[in-house]
Amino acid sequence: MTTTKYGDINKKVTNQLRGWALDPEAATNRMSITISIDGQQLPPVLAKEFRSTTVGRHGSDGYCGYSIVPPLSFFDGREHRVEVSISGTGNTIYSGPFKFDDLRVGGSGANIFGVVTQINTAGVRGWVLDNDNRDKQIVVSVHIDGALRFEIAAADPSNGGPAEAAKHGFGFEFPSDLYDDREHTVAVHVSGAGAVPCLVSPAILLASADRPCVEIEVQGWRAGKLVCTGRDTAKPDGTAPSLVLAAGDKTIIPDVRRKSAAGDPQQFEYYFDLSAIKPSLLISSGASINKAKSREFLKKVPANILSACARLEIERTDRAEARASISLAYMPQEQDSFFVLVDGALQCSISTARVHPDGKLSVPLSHIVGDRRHPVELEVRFADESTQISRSPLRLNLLRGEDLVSNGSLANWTGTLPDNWNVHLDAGATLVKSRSPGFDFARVANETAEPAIFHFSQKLTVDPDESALAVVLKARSSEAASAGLRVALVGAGVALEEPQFKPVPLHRAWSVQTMRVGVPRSSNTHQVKLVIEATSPAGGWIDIAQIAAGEPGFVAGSRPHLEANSSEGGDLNAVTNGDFSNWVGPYRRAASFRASDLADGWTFRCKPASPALSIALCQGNLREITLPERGPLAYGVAIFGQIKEGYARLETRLDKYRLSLSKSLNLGFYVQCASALGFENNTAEVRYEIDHIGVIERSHEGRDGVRSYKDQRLFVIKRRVAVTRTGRHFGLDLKPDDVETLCRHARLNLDNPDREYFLSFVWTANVDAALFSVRLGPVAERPVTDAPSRYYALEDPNIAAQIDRTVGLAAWTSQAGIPVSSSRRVPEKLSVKWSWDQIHPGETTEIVIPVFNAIDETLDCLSSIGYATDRPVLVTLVDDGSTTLNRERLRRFVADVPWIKLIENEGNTGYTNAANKGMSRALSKWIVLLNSDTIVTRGWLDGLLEAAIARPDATMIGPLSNAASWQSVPDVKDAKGGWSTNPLPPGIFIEDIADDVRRFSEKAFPYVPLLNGFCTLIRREALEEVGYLDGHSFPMGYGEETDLCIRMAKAGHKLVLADHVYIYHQKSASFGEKRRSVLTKQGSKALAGKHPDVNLVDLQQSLSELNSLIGIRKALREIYRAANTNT
Amino acid sequence: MAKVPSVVFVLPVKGASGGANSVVQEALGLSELGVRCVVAVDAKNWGSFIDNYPELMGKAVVLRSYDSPNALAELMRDCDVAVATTNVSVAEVSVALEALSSKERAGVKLAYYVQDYEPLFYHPESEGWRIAHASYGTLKEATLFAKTKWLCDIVYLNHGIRVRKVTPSIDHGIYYPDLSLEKDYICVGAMLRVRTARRAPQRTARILQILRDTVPEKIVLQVFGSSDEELESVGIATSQGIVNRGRLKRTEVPAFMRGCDLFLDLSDFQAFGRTGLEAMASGCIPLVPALGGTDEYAIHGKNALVVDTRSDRHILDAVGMFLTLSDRERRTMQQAALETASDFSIRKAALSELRLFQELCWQDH
Repeated sequence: MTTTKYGDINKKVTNQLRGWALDPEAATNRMSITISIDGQQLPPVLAKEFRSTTVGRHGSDGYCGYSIVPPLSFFDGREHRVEVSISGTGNTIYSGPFKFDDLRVGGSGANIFGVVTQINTAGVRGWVLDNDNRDKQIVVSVHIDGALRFEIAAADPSNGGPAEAAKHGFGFEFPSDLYDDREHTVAVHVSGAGAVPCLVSPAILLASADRPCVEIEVQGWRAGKLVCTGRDTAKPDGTAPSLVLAAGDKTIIPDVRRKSAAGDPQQFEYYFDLSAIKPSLLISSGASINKAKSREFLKKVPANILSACARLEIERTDRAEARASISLAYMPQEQDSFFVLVDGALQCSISTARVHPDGKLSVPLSHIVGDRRHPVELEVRFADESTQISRSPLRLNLLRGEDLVSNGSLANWTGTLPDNWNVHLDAGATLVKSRSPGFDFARVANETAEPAIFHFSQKLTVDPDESALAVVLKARSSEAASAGLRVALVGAGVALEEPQFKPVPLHRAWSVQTMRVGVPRSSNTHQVKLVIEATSPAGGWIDIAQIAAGEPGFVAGSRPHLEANSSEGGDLNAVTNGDFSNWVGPYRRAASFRASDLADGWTFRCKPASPALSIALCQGNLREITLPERGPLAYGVAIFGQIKEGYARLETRLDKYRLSLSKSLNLGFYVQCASALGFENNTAEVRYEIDHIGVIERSHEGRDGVRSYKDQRLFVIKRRVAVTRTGRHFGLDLKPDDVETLCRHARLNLDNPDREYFLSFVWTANVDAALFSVRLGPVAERPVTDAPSRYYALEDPNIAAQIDRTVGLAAWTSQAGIPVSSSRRVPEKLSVKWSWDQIHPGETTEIVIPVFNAIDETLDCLSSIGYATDRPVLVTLVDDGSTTLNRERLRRFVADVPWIKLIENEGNTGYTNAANKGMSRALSKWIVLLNSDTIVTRGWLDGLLEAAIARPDATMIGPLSNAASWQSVPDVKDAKGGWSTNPLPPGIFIEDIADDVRRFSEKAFPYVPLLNGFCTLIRREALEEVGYLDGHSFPMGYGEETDLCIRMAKAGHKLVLADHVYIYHQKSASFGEKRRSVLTKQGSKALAGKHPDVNLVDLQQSLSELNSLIGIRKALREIYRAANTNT
Repeated sequence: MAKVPSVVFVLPVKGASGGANSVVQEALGLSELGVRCVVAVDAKNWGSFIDNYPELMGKAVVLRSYDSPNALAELMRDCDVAVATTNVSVAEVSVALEALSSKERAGVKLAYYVQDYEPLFYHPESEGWRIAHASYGTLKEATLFAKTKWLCDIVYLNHGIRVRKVTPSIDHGIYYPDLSLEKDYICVGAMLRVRTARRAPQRTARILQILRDTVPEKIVLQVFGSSDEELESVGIATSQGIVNRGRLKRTEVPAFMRGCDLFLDLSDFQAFGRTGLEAMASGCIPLVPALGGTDEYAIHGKNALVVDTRSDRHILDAVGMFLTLSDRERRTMQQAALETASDFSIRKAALSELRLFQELCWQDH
């Protein structure tokens, strides 16, 4: 019946060359196809696409299709000579004329090609290019209802067109005002070529229901990206709108789009990487969020968010030194520069290239302001614009920002009173020096039954110009509600002046309050008295730990803000430049000095003085091995080379104050082989390690003006720390004894400049290390992430590095999961172009498939629908309580198939109920109720609908099958008198029989009294009229379809047989033979009870006498017999 | 009757890898069919190879070591078919051919048993990559064959060279289930090879740590493939709740598998994924990467879990699904896995190779 063929070409498809090819000897081998058009050889193509028509041909698995889009020049509407052959064998598949679509844009005279590939209510897509100058970007103008609406450049990626058109796609969505329930004409012209070359001009009805409703909210800057959220209110199932950001002439596509964490399924977050745009340009030109395709304006990015991309801040990281920092919210690729002005005079310019990768550039203010002794105005502008950066200008008063209070920490006492303070207490109140870990404080306890008042006062010398001082108080009270604390400044020489007290809020826990207190004018201009009045509650107490005062912006003596933070887990990192962000020395040097300054606060020492070592600033990713991401980029110090004798030591001074506040200490750092970062290392070591990490105390001594120091090791934190090429984070807890020792030393020597503490990393063998992110402080709480990362990453960098150059691995880089099927092969056809979102169910045919286990059969059925159905269909699967495993396989299979909707029942409710559940949700005119153990054949649905058109009075239509009682072909009954299942003879495939049925059918579309329920096309109106399947009488099926047929007939509807459609039925896969027999009996009994007036025997008799099937049956029997005899 | 060809497999490796195991057991399978088989191992790897395959001693397979191209040429001279098995062996066979006379050369048919797409093992700028990439075309007259369609396709797509497909093998003599084993916990096992980045040791450690922290106590986690020190050296802490069984000998792996209910192979990709199939034969459900050629035997949800291992979420979802299965469903999967594994036997694989070798030798006649 079938002749031996090596392949074929599909002449109906004219926008590409499409067909199949296989080797009859080894049909699962993929053939290479050689194609030439008019003698021009095209690159060979591998025939590996799925073609359902070839399944089973010579034992093929169906993966033997090929398709190729020829070069543009052949799309000229003329006939071309096409030769298709199998490479290397000379077997010709096709040789003859072939006419491709004419894609020339007519009338322009220019060599312009283009086509509109899609037009629907969402918008228009297509491509256009000038074949004479393919680099030229063609702009198309879009005319709607005859008027020019907008122009867009054809510069998007284009799918499906010839290779030349790859970067010449265009697309737009219709402006929302067009959705007015009227028809509109849309015409796309090539701009500048006059009105003639028109790509498309159909009329399209734009219903108001289709109107896009996108809501945008610009959130601000996060992780170096501009973040906005978007939701499409018209799509309640949560389809993400496609957005771009436009600034100046640049369009930025979001590099991350994900579901918003807020839990709103409709809301998506978009991360725009604006590094292609200079900050100055961004601020001056503004930006907007647009629709991706139409570029339709959706939302302007607020100016304050844009200007926050660069920010001026003043940091006070140290008692002596204040720093100004410029923060960038993102790192621009192109350099931008800032001008720094002091009091309007240009001081310096700073390039963004100097900004640290974390977005911060920190400059000591003393470098900029010099020794000016008056308040200055600091201004930072962009160099090429007059734009100020955010928070600029700032008014600064640096050099007099000192704490005016002596012994403000109340740490020094003589006898029972704190030094430098004048204290007055009510009777019954006591003042006690107390100690909390990390700091001292004064407690005023009131043992009486009445509130007790006490005063602390101290004379301060203030600037005569200053109108007010900032006063900082750190205090707490046992009874915050009844206690009171007030502060005032009074003229020192004026005893009678009434103090203007300002209340200070008090809490049970330590809190730091800052308030502005006016300087009395009437007093001696240089001397004022600071008065603190505290009202201690009866039987309670007030604690004061810090009193500081100074000009606004002053640095409090003991940094009370830090202490306040400490109780809240603030940063007490004692390593001040642990991220190596500030670097004073040269970026790379040989370690030829005994001691070299590197980054701020870091020194390198070695003994003897000239080891063969190099030190360099380096950059690397700090990969956390418990996370799949590559980790943040950071600066570090790389040390590499040989130590023949002696040692090398990297050390950093520890902040005594922060140490003194710590109760526990953890040393955190990241270390990796420097050679892994590209630094040459000629040592041949296999294993590198840091000999030890420890803390040393340095005592400075001065005699006769000559300063010297002595180092003493306090303790070792860890010995022999392995340094690996992959790099790792260390978090080493210091022993409690060591913590106690270090903190005690730091506390005792807080104000002693001759005692310093250093963290040291010591090497004694060959060195190959890069050190990053050093931190010594209380154990940092690690954020616990319960949700695993959504990031898709290969672990092996070798693979990632060659994906681009290896054919066939492109999907390995996708940031979407690789679909994995739960069936043996993934039929490619399953990714058809329609989906539940795009198609209104009313416009299509819906297929309802109840499923109960038998998952292999179900997946075969779905695959067959995928490849055998050419018209849009929507499938509703009703999983009626399959087991977990089967449910998982079903879920996985349909996960990426947009035209299948899966409904899951909790338990097994029975076939009838499951079918009704699916059918009751259908909206289409026709519904197909299909058993899950069927395999549909090419054109099956068209055939069923053809019968429906031929017989307009039909409400139920059924096809022929191998096993469907009276609809079975060739035989109805088997030798034993049971229903025949007509097993396929060897070498004959389902599609072969379907072809034969089509060929031999009379297309009589006979009326029948009953239809087998394995596959029935049902008119929804009629179903709603007579009612759904009877779930009460036939809960598990078996009889329900006969009941429906009888009810339809009683209501005057007609049942028709589509005698040219063949659907294979694997037969009763859900239940075993035994159970099926029981169910059949139950069904017959229920049927007889429900329709006593109907004689089923008569009906079956009329079915057995269907003349129109005689021809088909005869022909098929011949074919079956011939095939069986041959084997 | 035509003579059965004699075959030399050139296998310059230490052994114990999936690819080497394939070659050795298939050589044994061929020899059981009466094919004279020589396994040629270079002198450098000889010691470790012998340690890894003590069972080869006394078997019909002839083990030979070679220390020079001439020595290899000598071995090839005696055989009808010389089979290269790695990109290194391709280079060695190519050099050894120089030592043969043109007549001798015509008498030896060349084949290359492609075990993996080896360029993926090396950085694309490296010499190793260059050699691996060139290896498919180095032996001009060689017939290439491989175990999976994925390997056949990727070599053809990138080098335009057809690769014949042979049947994979599994040693049911050592990989068998113990269905009588009754336990009241679920054991999840994993391979953790710190030296092989494509086997994703860090991902494996990470997933195991997450599982340890999140799954109920009735789950036992165990790994093999690296010593504690090796794990430590790359920053993977062996931690409480995860049993490290260290480096297992090839013959110790089956027992490990038999004790597991789920076996995690979280590699970036697997050209075939022998361990996954061996897990199946041991009655253990494997979780294998979707990337590569595991679809040769693994069907997600039926006999295995197939996931995009690039995503932790995919892996954890699949493991989570497995842990919620009822005993009956787990048994169903186990049965399906055993049935699948039983389709891959040494005999079948040896026959498929024999057919190929015979065709090579007969094509001149």
